[in-house]
Amino acid sequence: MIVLKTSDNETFTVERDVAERSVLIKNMLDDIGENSEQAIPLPNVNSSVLKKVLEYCEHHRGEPLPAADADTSQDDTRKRTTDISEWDQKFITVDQEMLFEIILAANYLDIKSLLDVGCKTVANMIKGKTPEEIRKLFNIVNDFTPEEEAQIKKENEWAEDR
Amino acid sequence: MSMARRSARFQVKKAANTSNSPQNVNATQSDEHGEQDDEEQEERPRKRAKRISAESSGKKAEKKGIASKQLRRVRGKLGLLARLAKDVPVEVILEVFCHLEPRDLLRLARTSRELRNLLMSKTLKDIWRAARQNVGDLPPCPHDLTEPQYAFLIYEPICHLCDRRVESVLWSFRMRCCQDCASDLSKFPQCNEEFFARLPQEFRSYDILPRDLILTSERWGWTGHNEITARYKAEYETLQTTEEREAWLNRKEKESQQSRNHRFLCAQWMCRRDIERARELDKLRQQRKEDILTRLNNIGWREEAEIIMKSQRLITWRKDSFAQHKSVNQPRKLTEYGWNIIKDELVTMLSNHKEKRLQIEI
Repeated sequence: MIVLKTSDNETFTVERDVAERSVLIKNMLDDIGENSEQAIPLPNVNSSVLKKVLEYCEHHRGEPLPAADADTSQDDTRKRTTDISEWDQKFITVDQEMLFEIILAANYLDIKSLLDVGCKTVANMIKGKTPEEIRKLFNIVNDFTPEEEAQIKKENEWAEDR
Repeated sequence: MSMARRSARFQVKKAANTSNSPQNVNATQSDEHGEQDDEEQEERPRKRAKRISAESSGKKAEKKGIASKQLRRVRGKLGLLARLAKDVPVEVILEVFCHLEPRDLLRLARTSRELRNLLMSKTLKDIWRAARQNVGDLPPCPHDLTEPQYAFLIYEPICHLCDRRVESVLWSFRMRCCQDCASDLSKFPQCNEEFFARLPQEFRSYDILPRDLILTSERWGWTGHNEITARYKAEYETLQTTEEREAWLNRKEKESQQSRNHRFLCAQWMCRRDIERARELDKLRQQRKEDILTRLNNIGWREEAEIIMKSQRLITWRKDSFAQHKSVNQPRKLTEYGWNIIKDELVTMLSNHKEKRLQIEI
């Protein structure tokens, strides 16, 4: 069993194969050795988010992890659809605040598949929406003047190299 | 891809840092997004990203807590996209983009300056390509267009000259053009004797000039594009030797052939897409009707609706008047809110029908 300590000083005791869904934790464990009873500090994750993340890791335990250097081939072969499995879909049905925290945590803890689910969820929120709807959904302020807005609509060249 | 993405990230960051950032404007809404403000805050995204792994002491965590509370107060529960762009490495937001379609990237690029600067940076070429490949059978981007230009051509049904809505594309000219604008002979001359007489002799024997079919109430036939034609002519005339000219003609002829093939693929694709879309809309309408019937059942009005549907089924080729009712015939999912809005109107319609029907039956 592994002990994880969150930013709000809560501790979670989890089985090693669940915790090792996180590449960050896996590497830490490799570094500190097998039998250390030290709690692993996760200063960027609070307890409510970690609880959620562990729920994900628990559900997906035992599934093959993407190889560490698989980035190249994965990018080419991974089907970039926004399909999310039913369980994942239910899991990720949370408010924007929590979704954001989950993505942040998945990125920090290096859990590729969870990061993927998070990103796909955000993508699904954007899909098919007009600029105005996107702004509303994500609270983006329109900083174009009406003239600029009309102009950029037709300007689709790459911006000048900076 | 990994390497490319990393370097993309680096350059994107550079671009993002020199740009105005909407989140900052967001936080200081009252300012007229003066440049000074933006410059002051532009370092933030980078610092944040670094801090994520460095931060560990309780003091810092406390600070962060305060900061995020402030953020929450300013932005409420929304603002996810902006915060993502700001608080996690750019790779993450690019990962989101990779799951979109070019149409969505185009629209995102119109939401704010920062997103525009990010998305229209050439370093995001791979992201646009990935987005295009998400659209299954969309033909590849032609060599003479950038990915955003291609997306604009395919997804934005507006006349490039006057903004009016127009469905068809003049592929050879890389534009959409409404009937009125297409009638302008000074822009789109007819491909006739007079047209060719002004051009080098060789332009007749080599099939190089982009031309398109323009079909309006005013005109019908193959049309050239004055600007493109003039450019071709100028290019050709600067060439000195016969060999150079011949090579140019051969190259242009090849391009022209490729363009025609591409145009054929695109037209096919758009046709398939339209059919698919029509089917989808139909399915949505059908589902809405079913949902409404279920709701009507709960309040005792389903029977009357079914009487209407049944009685008109064989009389007319059109939908029955229930299915055609403006509250029913919509390609939109029925929500609780939506149902409450249309409920009374539908019940009135059904009770009127029942009243009339009973009068006739008596």
